[in-house]
Amino acid sequence: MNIIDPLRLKDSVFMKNPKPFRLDAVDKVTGRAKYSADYYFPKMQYAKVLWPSVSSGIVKKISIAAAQEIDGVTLIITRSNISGPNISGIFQFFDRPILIGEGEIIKCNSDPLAIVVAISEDIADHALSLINVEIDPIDHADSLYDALANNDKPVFEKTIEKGNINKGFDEADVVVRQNYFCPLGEHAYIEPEAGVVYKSEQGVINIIVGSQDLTQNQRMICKSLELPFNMVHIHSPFVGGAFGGKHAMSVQVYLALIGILVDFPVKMTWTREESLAHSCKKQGHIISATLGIKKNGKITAFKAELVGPCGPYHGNTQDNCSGVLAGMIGPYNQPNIHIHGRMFDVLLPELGAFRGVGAPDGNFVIETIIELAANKIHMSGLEIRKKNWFRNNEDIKTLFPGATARNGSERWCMNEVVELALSKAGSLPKPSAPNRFVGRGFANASCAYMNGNTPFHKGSTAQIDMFLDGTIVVKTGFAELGEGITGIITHFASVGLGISEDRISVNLGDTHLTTKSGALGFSQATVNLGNAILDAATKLKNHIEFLAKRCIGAPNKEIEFRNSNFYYKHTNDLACEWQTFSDYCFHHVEPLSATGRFVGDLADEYQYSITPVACIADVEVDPETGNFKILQIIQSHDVGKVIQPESARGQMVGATVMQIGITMFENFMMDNGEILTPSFSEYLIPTTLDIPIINEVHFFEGNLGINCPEGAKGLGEHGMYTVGAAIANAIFNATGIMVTKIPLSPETFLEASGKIPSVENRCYDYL
Amino acid sequence: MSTSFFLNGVLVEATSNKTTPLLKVIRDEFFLTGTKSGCETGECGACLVLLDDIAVNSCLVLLGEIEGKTITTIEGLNKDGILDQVQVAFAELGALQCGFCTPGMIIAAKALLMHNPHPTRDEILIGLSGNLCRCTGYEQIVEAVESILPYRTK
Repeated sequence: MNIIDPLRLKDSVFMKNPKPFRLDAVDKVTGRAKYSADYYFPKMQYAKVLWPSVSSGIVKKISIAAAQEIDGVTLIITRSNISGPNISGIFQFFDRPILIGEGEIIKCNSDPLAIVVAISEDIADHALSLINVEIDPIDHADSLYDALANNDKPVFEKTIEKGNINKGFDEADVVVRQNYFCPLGEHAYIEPEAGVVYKSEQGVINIIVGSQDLTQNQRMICKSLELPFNMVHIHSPFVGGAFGGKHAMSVQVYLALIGILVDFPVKMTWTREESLAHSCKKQGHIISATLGIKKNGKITAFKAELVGPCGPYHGNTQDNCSGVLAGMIGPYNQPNIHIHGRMFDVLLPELGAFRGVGAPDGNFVIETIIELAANKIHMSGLEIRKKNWFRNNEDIKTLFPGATARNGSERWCMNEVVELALSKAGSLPKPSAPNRFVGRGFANASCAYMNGNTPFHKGSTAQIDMFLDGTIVVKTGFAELGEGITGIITHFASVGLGISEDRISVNLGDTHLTTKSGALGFSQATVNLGNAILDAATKLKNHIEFLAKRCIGAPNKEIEFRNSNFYYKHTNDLACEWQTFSDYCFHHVEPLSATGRFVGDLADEYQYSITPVACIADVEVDPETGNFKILQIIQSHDVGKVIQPESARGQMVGATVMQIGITMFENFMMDNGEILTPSFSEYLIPTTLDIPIINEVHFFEGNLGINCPEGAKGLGEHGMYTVGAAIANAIFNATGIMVTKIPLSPETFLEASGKIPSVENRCYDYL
Repeated sequence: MSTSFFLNGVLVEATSNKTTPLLKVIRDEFFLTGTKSGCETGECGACLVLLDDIAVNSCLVLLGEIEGKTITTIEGLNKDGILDQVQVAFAELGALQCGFCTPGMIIAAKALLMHNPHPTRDEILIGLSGNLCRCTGYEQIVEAVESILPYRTK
């Protein structure tokens, strides 16, 4: 009997080329796929968070008496219910309180005051409205503009330096200066934060929550609430998008706190408005950049000064700032660099990692200022880039020490990747009307961001268990966010053990399956988990071959496991049939299980993913109105071996559209701690009507990464790096106007072209 | 006072208050969790269901409005284990990633094709414009809908 879900492989008359679906496809097209909010339990109650009415102040009093008297309210949790340190956070940054109590300080709009548990969400909401809170507001820098005007001390500061910057500018024939503005952004996963907590035997607290990083989330709960790790079991079902926004603290810590205090199941679901207001945010910043260049196209100096806002909690402040700074280096072997960044504490929610962790925004700076320089020295931007690219591994290592582990190959395929994009772009289309202009923009990147070899990110473990019928289950802490990890796991388990994919199932997203999942971030899951699975598969294969030799009483023979049987290596004769082996293991109670691990080179501070990316954008501009039409975006990447072409393409064309949103209209705005973009009616993300007419991605399998499974370097963030700059360069090419104030909207275009007055402080005020 | 309506071909009685959004009734009373809650204000389209043959945001429809009407959710599209052709097309073309918008997107595509069996690319884009997807960039979704067209009888 076929044990596979009959829906999973069902052929259809509608299919042109019948093939197995993506492994999560049938679950997702039938509505059978379960996400955190889809779990229901008998006697389940609902929890809601009381958020503060101001973003900065001392809590004088929290009166819960009136709310407690409502029928259906079971429990109201305040600071006094927490016996542990009450400080949570991520990575090495434990700085974020769970609840703010009387006499304590509210530092941002995401500092909760109480949690109501009730028999329905409506009752919980009603109870929230009856909790009376007295707060003495405290004056605090509301925006970056305030923080700079107040001469506030930065909470984080970093400099990247190389060579002698003054000497570099002295050598330059032309110096170009440009100011950049980039607003805050929202991850805007379509699934808002949600989770369910329930207790099981021995009082274990089980939390169902969508997460990118289960090990980290378990740690943030256990440390802050002083719980043993074995008593906090997190399971991540399907996750409805994350993009870096589901590492940080959201519902999981509150659910654990509830789980300590009650014995019945409780669900917490954030509304879209809560998600927008209280989840972590993509960083924003202001940058002034200066590039020195010789007439022959050699860059002699690059200087940049970044100031950016952050909230009071710093789980991602450093990474975000460092990411933008490193991104500004671009794929160039620059002799003289001085890049300096400062982050200031203002009234914001915590910053979060956002697909590329700032590096794509840094790349926007270098890729547009090069185009301005090209215009000045009358040379094509591409020619300048070619003259300044990294040449080899040594060049890369001078800028990114430790960039050896992942793909430190001498084969640097930037030229091939660029040529691939150019070959697909065709000729520039004609404008659709006489008063419009069409331009083509180009950008490239090295995506040289860190692959997170810090103790908190690096490596992964995986376990493979084999059943006595020869089928296997792979266990990992990673979750399926839509990136296709289920297919990656199945592929590598199949390759490693020589078992067909239909005999493999996966258990995903669970803290109690393996000791460390590793983070689903920095595009690293394929490398970390793929290697861990190959390691486990090798160990398991060796183990069962060893057992098979015992089984047939031939310990000195060479035996190989293949097609679910055992063969003599030299003669290829059958040595042992599966059933005989299986019976032997059953009677001798032999465990058929192996755990694999992967960790980067411990000597490296970071592992770097160095993936050449190129992008071409064709944009039509109406200079009178500033309206744009994106005609085509062509991206090309060398991500090494592409394991799942359909998923890889989906991620990259998806990133193109996400970056169109981030570049052209997304703008998360706050004023005095109040959200001005509280829903999807104000915070606009791309719809089908915003996509390019042509959106293509092409993969060049040139540099197969060293230490990468089958040479696959992984992907996910790469699609974000070049699209924004290519669009800005296309508009520059069409009109001669470079817009570097994002969002690159009709309004900012008309400002840059002098048709409407520039309102400098408007943006600063909201940053 | 209960409300009767046909849910995926079966006559059901919902006991929720008549002012309860249909989305909540479908999920909390009938546990059909394929219909997703993304915003509860009609902005994202994740909660799309067919009301008779019209796609509606179930977060914006109140239970009292559907007395005697027919509601089809994503769970009602595959019949006897056979996937609907729109579901097959999405699975075949890999027109999904995280999958959270997928049920709503499939319902939107289904409704579009019911009313316009041979939409142009622009008509597909307009037909799906009420559904937000953050992962796919819509490219493979549009291709999935286009892939159905050659198989439809005129």
